Amino acid sequence: MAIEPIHRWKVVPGRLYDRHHQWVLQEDVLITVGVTDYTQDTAGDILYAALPEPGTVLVEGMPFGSIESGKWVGQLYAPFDGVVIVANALVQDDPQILNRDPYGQGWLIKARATTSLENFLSADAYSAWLSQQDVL
Amino acid sequence: MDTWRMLDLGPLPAWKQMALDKVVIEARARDSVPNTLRFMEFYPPTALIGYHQSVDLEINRSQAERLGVEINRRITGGGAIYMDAQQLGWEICMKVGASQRIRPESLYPQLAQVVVEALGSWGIKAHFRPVNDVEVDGRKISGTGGVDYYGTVIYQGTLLLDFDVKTMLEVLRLPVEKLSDKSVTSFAQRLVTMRELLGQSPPMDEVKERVQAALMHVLGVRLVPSSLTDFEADAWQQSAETYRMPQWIDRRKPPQPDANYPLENLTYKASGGLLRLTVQTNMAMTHIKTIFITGDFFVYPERAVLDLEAALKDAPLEIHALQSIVQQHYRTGYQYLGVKEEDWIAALSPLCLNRREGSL
Repeated sequence: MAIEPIHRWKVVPGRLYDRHHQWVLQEDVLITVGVTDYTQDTAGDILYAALPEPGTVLVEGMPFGSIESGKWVGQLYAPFDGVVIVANALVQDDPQILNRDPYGQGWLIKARATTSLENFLSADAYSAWLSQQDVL
Repeated sequence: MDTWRMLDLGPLPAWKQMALDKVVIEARARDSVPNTLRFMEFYPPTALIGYHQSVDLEINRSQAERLGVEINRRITGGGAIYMDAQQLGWEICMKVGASQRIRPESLYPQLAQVVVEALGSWGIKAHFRPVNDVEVDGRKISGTGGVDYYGTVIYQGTLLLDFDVKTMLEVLRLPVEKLSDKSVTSFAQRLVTMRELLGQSPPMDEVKERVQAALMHVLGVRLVPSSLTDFEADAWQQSAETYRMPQWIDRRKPPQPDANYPLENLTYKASGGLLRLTVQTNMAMTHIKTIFITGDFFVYPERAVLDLEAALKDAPLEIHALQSIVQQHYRTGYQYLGVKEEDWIAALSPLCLNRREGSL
């Protein structure tokens, strides 16, 4: 019998997740990075997003951008070492797209990685882990 | 009982204060210091913008320079503010957990209670008002904002012992057409200071003592006066200069050099009187940035209008969202004579992108 997660947030299958509540999707050599439904929901109405320029070097675990909601600045953390190929201009122009479609049109960056993605969580593992998180 | 430290380095220029914010939050994130209450005083006077803002959209640079007002960027979110020796900056830096995403609407009321309780020690009845204000009878006495970094947060705000509205209006680019006595009065009505409430401005040291006592009581912690660690002092010395550089202060530019936030003056005739709305939106015109409401309608209590302004701040310009905010506002029991919920929506509707949503 499948165990239903006890949280209410959408987790999309077929992607990998980190513990900063971000998803990655590998498509050939490019990896798309975005925030999860949990991130957009806890943030509330996102009014600003700052994303890196193409060519920016990503260092795993270091902030590469930020979002702002409710006068609060939250960091976006690089999920891997690599380099930014493109940042989503739609998100910078209309940050609320992160609220509306975090797994689709609200992707953040596409990057090339120089480290592996082996420590990421599967959708099921992330969902299970999410069920254990407290929300401030 | 947890032990926190209290840092009070006295008046400093903004670039040193901003650099210290980053040093302290990094040190706390590394677990090399305990949770911290920090007081911030600014000298020279300073205009501070929020982390994601552009100086040229928020501040009149030439006026600031003429008046000797420095300009800087906070690491926290929120809007532009003016700080001089008559405001106390306070901040709480605490660890919340490495994987935690912050829900501002939950965290703010808890931490703002420190200021609410400190003001209560003078008999001032203050309350937290979403999104980020502490108010007294609807008038703002403390504005707040925050940032998180590796599971550590800084939640900070100002406390108005006294306030120079005229200088603020000269330095900040607020939606007023000219510096008339009326606009000064209008802005002054939206803020309240401890001097006005108490008859005189309390000594800064006394305010700090009462904020400390309130923090210990509200959060159930012990507070120990402290100083920076050697590591923090070194990091501060090494990084501070970068916070007075254009690369930091002007890291976000407006879309054009002479850009302004769109400003709309709307009027609507309700049966109870005329509604006059001055609405500044974000550049994309998707959200209200600031709204000032005047008119000749009657409402009891008068704070209702200030609460409605606060509720509409940052609201999306969508009919359904505005309806929800106005409905919520009316549910609190304010008595508007001849001004209905739908009047506000009709007044704001010219700004909405998706008017087809509503049936106006």
